[in-house]
Amino acid sequence: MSKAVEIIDLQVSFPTPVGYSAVVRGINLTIYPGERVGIVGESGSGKTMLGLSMLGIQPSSAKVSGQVIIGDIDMVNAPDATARKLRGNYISMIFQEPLTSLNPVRTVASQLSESLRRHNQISKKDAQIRVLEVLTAVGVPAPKERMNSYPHQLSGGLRQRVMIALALINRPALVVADEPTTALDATIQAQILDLLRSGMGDAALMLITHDLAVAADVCNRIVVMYAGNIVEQGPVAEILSNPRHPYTRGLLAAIPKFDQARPALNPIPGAPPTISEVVPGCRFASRCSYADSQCTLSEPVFADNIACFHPVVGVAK
Amino acid sequence: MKKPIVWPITRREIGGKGHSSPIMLKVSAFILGTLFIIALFQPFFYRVDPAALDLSLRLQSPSLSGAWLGTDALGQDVYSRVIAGFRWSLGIGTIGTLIGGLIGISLGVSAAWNRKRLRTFLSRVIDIGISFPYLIIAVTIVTVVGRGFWSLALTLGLVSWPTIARVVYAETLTLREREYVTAARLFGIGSLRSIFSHILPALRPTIQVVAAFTFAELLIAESGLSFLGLGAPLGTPTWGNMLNESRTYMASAPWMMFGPVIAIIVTIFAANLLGEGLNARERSRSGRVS
Amino acid sequence: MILNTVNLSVTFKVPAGLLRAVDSVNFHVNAGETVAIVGESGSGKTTLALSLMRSNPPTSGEIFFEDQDITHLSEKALKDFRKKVQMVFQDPYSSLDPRMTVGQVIGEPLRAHFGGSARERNTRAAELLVSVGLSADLLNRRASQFSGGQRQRIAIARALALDPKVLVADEPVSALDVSTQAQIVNLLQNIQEERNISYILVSHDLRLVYHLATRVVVMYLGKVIEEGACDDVVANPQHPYTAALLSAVPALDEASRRDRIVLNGAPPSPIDRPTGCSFHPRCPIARPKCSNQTPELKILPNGRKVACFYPGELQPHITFTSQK
Repeated sequence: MSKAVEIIDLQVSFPTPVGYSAVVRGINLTIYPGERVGIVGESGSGKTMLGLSMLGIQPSSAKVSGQVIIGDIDMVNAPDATARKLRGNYISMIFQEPLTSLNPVRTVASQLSESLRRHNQISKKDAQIRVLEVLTAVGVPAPKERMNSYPHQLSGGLRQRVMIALALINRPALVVADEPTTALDATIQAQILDLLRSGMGDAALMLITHDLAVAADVCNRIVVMYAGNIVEQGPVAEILSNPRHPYTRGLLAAIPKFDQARPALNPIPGAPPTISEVVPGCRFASRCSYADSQCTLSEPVFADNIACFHPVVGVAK
Repeated sequence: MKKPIVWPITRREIGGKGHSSPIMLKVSAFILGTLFIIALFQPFFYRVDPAALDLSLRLQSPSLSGAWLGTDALGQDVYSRVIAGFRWSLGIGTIGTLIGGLIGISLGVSAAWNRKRLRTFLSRVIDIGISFPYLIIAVTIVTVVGRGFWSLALTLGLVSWPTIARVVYAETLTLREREYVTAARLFGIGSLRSIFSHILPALRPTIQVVAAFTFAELLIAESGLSFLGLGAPLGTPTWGNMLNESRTYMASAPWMMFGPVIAIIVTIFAANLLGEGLNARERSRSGRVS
Repeated sequence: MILNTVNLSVTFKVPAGLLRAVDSVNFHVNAGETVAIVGESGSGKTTLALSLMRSNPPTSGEIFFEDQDITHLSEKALKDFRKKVQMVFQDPYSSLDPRMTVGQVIGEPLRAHFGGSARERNTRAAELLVSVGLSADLLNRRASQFSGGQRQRIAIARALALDPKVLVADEPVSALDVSTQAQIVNLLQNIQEERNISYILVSHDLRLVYHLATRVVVMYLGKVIEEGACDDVVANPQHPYTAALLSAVPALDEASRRDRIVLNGAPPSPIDRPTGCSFHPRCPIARPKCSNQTPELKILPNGRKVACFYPGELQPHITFTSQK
C-alpha cells in the first residue's frame, strides 16, 4: 500500500542558553491514505512542532533534521520552491483559530480559488465550480451566497468549515489539523468532528490534539506523544480499552467519565520535563508508578508500537 | 466561545537567565552618572571661578595652557561656566520632569480609571493640554512669578505633563481590563489600593521610558526658553543663556557656542539612550519564545 | 439557600441594540452543594456568574445572600459579602498579577479586609499554599515564574484566604493540561469536603460537570431552559438542547458517536432573538407551536425544571462506564 506520508527520524530543536534542545526527538511515523491518525499529547509533547515542521512552517529559529516524505519528495530537505509547491497542494493544514489564519480582506471564494489556481492549470469558470463543490462537501449552507462573504462575517463554525475546504480543495494526500475544534462551542465542535471523521475524502488526516476523547471520536489510530517522543500507538479501540504505556493509562485515568459510581480521578503526579531539561533514561520515569532503576539508566526504544521497559498488561479500568 | 488554548514556550521553560543589561543601558547610565556627579561636585571641576570677570581676557580662543574652551565677551571662562551650568540645567530637567510626571500620571490614571463623564472630561483636559502652546505658559509664569530656577522648573513641568498623561492614560486603559484587576475588585479591594498595587507597578517601565525622553526634551526647552529670554535670569550660567550670549559672537568667537552645545548634546544623547535601553530591556523581559 | 436570585435580568446597551444577556433567571445554591451552570457562548452563563458576584448591579431583579438583599448595595456595604463569596477565573495567566510575589497575591484580600502586619499575612499565606499542595518556600517567588497548574492553585489559595462560603469557579481547569486538570479537580473536591463550601461551577465540559456537580442549570440565550439533579439531567435530559449538548461530548466509545444529535446552524445572536422558543430554529424536534409561543420554565414532580413543550422526546446516547 502506498504511503500518504512517511516521517523518518524527525527532530526539531530550539536554541536555549545550554545549546540546542529538541522539542521533537526523533519521530518515526507512517500514515496511509484514508487513515485518520490522532496525535495526542499535552504541552511540551512536541505535537504542534511536529505538525508545523511537516509543512515546513516551523519558526525560523528552529532546526529541523530527518525526513518527511510525501509522494517522493522530502519536505525537510527540499528547496523552498519545491516545498511551496507541495504546501496547500499535497499537504495542507487546519489551524486552531480560523479568524487569524484566513485572510480577512478577501472573500472566501477568492481565497479558495487562489489556492486552486496556484497549484492547478484551471480556468476561472472551472475554479468556481470546484469552489462550490468543496464548500458544499464541507457542509456550508447556501454556498452560492456564502462564498462571497468575508471571514469575519461568518460564525466560528462556518469559518472552520471554510478552513477545511481550503485544506481539501486541491485533494491533498494529507491534512494536518492542529487543535481544530478547541476554540469552538460544544455543539459546533461536534459538527466539525463529524466532518473531520467522514468528510476527508481520500486524504489522510493527522489530528493534533490534547484531548484524547476528541482523537477517539474522529480517528482510527492514536499516537501518544510525551516530551518529544512517541510513547505508544495503536488502533483507537485498543488504546482505549488496553493502554500499555503507563502515560497513556495515566491520561485515560485522569479524564472524568460518565460513571455513575463517580470514581476519584487519578491524576499523573508531577509535570513534564522542560525543553532544556536533560533527563537520564525514560523521560516519563519520574512520574511513573511502574518505574524501576532500568528506566532511569537508558531510554526505551520504540518497538512493537510502544516505548517502555514495563508495558502494562491488562484492561484499563 | 471557549478560549483557544495556547501552550507558550516561555523563556522560563527554556531556562537560564535573561541576557544581561544591554549596552545601551550601561553606556547611558555611565554618562548620566558622570554628569550628575559633576553637577553635585561642581566646584571641584572649575578651572577658575566661573563668575570671575576679566575684561582683559575677553574673547580668547581655546588653548591648552589657558582657557580650555576659551573665554566669552566678559572674559569669563567658558569651560567653567559650562560646568557651572550643570546644576541648573540638570536640576531644571529633573525637577521639571518630576512635576510633569506627577501631574501627568495623576491625570492619566484618573482619566482612564473612571467611567463616562469624568473620563470624557479628563481626557479632554489632556487633549487641551497637549495642544496648548508652551510659550504662552512660559510667558504667563514669568510675568506672574518672575524669572528664576523654580519658575522655570514649574513652566517645564506644566509643559511636559500632557504627553506623559496621554501615554499613561492609554496604558492604564489596557491595564484596567486585565483580569487580575477585576479579580481585585471582586475581592473587595478598593480603587485606590488597586491603582497603587496593580496599575502603578505595571506602569513603571512605561513611565521610566517616557521620563527619560521627557528629560531630554525639557533640556532643549530650557535652552530654548533661556535663548528667548524667558528662562534663567541674565548672567546666570545656564547652557541656554550661554547659547543666547554666543549669538552675537558666532563669527568672531564661535567657541562660545561649543561648550554649551556639546554639553546639551551629550546629555540629551545619554537621556535618549537611557530611554531606548529601558524600552529594549522591558521588551526582552516580557518576550515569549514562539 | 445561601445565594439566590429572583427574576434576575442583565441587559447591555450595545451599538446594535439591547443585549439581554441574562433573562429573568431564578438561581439558587445551597450550603455545601455544587451547582454547575452549563451553556455555550451567548448563553449568559458568565454574565450570570459575575452578577452573582455582584460585579455590577443587575438591570432588574434581586440577588439575596443569606437572605439579605444585596442587589443595590454600595461597594462599601458589600465588603462583608465579598469576604464570603469568592471567585476563581479561567485563565491562570491573567488572573494573577505577574509582578507580585505569591505571598502578595494571596495576602492581597487579607490586607484589604483585615489589615494586620505583613508577617501575619505571610504566615497565613504560607498555610494556604500548603493546603493547596504547594511548598511554603515559594512565597517570595513572582507569580510569573509558575506554570498554569501551579498558578491555578495559587488562585485557589487566594480565593480561600478569606474563608468564603461560596466559591464561583469560571472554567477553572479548561486552560490546563489533562493531567493537571485532574490534580486541580481533586484539590477542589478535597477543599469542599474539608470546608463545606458551596461551589458554583461554570463550565462547558459536561464530563467535568458530571463528575463534580450535584445540580445542573442549563442556559440558552440568557434563559434557564433546564435544571435538575445532575444524575437525572444527564441520564434523562428533558430539553432537546440538553440532549444535544450531551450528545456533542466527544465520545470515548463508538455507540455514543453514531447516534449523535446534530443541531442546525450556530447559536443565534442574543440581540436578534427568534420568536417563540429561542431554541426552535435549531431544534431537531421543533413543531409549529414552538415558533409562536414561548415555553415557560415548568417545575416537574421530582424538582426538575424544563422550558419545552415536548420535554423528554429527544434523548442522547450516553454510555455510562458503570451504573450505580
